[in-house]
Amino acid sequence: MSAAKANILGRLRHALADPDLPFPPENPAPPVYEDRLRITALAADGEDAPHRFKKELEALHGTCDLAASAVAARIHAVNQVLAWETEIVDARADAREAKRLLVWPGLDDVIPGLADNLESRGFQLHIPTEFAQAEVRADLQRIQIGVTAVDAAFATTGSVLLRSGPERSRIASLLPLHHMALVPVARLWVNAEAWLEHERRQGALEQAMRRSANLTLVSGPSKSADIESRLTWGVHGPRHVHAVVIPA
Amino acid sequence: MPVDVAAHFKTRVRQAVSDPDLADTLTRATISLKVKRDVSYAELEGQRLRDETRAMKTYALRHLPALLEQFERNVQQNGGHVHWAEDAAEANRIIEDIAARRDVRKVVKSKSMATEEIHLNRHLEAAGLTCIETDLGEYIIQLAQEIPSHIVAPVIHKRVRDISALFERHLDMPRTMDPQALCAQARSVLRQEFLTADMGVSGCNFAIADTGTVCIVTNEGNGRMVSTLPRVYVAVMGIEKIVPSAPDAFLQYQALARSATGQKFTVYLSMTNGPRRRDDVDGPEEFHVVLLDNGRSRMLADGYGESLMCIRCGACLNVCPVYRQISGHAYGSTYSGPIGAVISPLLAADMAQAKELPYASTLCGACRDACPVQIDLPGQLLSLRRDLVANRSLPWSERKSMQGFAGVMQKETAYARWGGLAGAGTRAAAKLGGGAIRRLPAPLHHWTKSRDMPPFASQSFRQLWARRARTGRWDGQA
Repeated sequence: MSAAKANILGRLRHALADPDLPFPPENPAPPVYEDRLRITALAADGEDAPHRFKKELEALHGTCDLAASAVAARIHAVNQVLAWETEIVDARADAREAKRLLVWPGLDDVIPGLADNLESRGFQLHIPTEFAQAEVRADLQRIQIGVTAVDAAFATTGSVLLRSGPERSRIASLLPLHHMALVPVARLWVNAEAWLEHERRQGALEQAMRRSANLTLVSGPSKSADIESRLTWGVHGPRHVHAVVIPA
Repeated sequence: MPVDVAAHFKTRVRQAVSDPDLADTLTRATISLKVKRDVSYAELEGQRLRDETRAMKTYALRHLPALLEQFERNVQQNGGHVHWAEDAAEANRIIEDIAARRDVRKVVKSKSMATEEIHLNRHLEAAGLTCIETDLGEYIIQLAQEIPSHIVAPVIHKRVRDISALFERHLDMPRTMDPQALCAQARSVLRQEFLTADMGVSGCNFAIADTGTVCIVTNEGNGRMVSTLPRVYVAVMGIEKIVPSAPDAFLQYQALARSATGQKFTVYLSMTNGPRRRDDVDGPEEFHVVLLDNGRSRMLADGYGESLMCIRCGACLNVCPVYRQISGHAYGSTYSGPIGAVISPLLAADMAQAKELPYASTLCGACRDACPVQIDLPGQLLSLRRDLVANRSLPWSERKSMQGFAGVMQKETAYARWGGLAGAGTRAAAKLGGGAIRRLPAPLHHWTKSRDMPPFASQSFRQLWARRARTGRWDGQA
C-alpha cells in the first residue's frame, strides 16, 4: 500500500470513528434502489415510447424517423444519408472525393439490406479495426457521416446508449459532423431507470455497466452555451443526430 | 478593468464592482440558469430528488474508506491504474511521471475543477509539456490567460466581442459577433489537437465503486475526445466523488444536470471502464485514476463533512446576490460563490489564505435552498467564521473590538450607557454630515469607507418601551 493511500484512509477512518463528528450521521439509511430509481423516472404520459422518443430528441435539436416497417426504415435511413451527403458535397473543397461512411458492423441485422443499398448508391462503408496510426487518423477524420446501432435507447430523454467493442468504434458517433443511430423498438425503454431496474433484477447490472471499456449515453447533438449563454451546435461532437426507429 | 486574482480580496471586489458591465452580465446569465433549474425541478418531485440525493451522498460519505478501496480493486480489475495523492504536489508529480514514462508531449484536457485546484497546467508546462484546454469556455479562458469565473460556465463574465477579439489575436480569425462562427473555429482548431495529443486528462463527475467506472458529464463532446483519442487517459478525482453503484450514479447525474443547466440529461455521459479491450477499435492504451485528497480528509475531521457532499453544479452561485455583484474572480480561488467561500479556505493548506471569503456572504440562505444536496452553506460559513476567530487569524484590533462589543452587549448597564453615548455622538456627527455620518473615527472608519452610517434614533427602543409601560402609548408623545 502506498504511503499516501495509508495516510488518506487512516485520516478518513480516524475521523469517522470520532463519536462527536458533526457529519455524516453514524448510521445513514442504506439505499432502497426500487424507490431510488422511481424518483427520477419520467413517465411516458400516455404516449407510446417511439413517439415520446421522437418528441424528446427533436426538442434537443435532433431529428427522428419512426418507420412503419423494416423496408420503410431502410428508405428513411438511405434518404437521410443522401440528404446529408448533398450538404457535405456543397461544403467540400474537392467534389471528387469518395462518398464514405464510418459505420458499425451488422447494419443489415438491424435494417435488412441497408448496407447493400448504400453501397449500390456509391457509398464506401468503413468499419475501422484500429485508430492508432497517424495516417489512419488523418484519413478517417475526413469522413463526415457515421452510422451506428445502439445498445439501448430511452424515450423520455431522447437518449441512445452506445457500447464500445470489436469493430464498434467510438469514433463513428464522435468524429463526423453527422451521426445516425439505428434504434430497434425492442431496445427502446421508456426511461433509463427502466433499463437499470431490468438489468438489476436480472442480477446483470454490474456486467452491463462494465463489460465494455466504454459506455456512452448520447442525448442529442453536441452543444455549448459558454458564449453569452447562447446555444452553439456541433462544438466537438456531431452537429446533427438522427435516429431511425425500426418496428419489431 | 479586469479583476486581478492575485490582488487582495478588497482590491478584487473593488475592481469587480467598478466594471459597469460585469454585474449586468452575471445577473442576466445566472438568472437564466436559475430559471432553467427551477423549471426542470418542477417536472418531477424536486424535493424528493434533493432528499434522495442527500441521503445517497450521506451514505457514501459514511462509507467512504470502504468504497474507495472497492473502487480501486474494480479499476484494477478493469485493467486501469489507481494512484493516491495526499496533496496537489503529489498529484502533479504522479501525472508528470506518467507523462514522462509514456513519452508524452501534448496533453488535451476536458473541463475539470480538480485539475484547476492543483494547478496542473502550470506544473506540466513547467515540465515542458503543452496543455490544451478543450472545453469551449475553458479554451477561451486559456487564450485570455485567466481562471474560470464559474464552476459550470467558466467564461460567464465575457461578452462575445471580447471573445472575438481573442480569436482575432490568437487564431487570426476576422471579427464576428456570431457565437456559432466562433464555435466552428474552435472545433476545427481543437480537432487537430485531439487527434495528435498523447495524453488526455479529465476530471470526474462521479465514479462507481462496484464497477470501477469513471463518469464524465459534458455537452460539447470534449470529454469523449480526451477519454477516447489519446494513447493515455488520466482522470483526476476528489475522493468524495465516489458513489456505491450505477443507480446512485444516475441519481447524481440527474441532480447535477437539472441543477446546473436545467437539463434532464446532458448531451454526453461518458463511462470509462479501464483502457481499451483487446479487440477494441479505439480508446486509450492506458487508463489512470488519481484519487486526490488535498485537504478533504481534514475537512471531514474538522467537522465540515457536509460540504464534501457538493456535486459541483453551480446552483448556489446562480442564486447568490454577492456572486452576482462581485463575479467569480473576486473570490480569487478555483471555487467561487457560496460553496467556494466554504471550501477554498478549507482546502488551502493555510486557512488564513482565504480568510475573507467566509465573510463574502449575506447569509440570506438562497444557496441552501438551491443546493441539490441541501448543504447548510450559511451554517458552514458561520462555523468557519467562528473557527477563524478562534484560530486567531483575524487582526488583534478586530478581535479586541469584537470582545469589547460582546462585553457591552452582555451587561445591561453598560449597554444603556454606551447606547446613550453612541446615540448622542451619531446625531451630532450626522448634523455635520447633512443627515448621515460620512466617516467614523478609526478603527470604525473601515465600515464607512463604502457606505454611510445613519444616526441612531433620538429615543432608543428601551426608552420607548419604558414609556409605553408608564403611559400605555407607543408614539413617544407624552
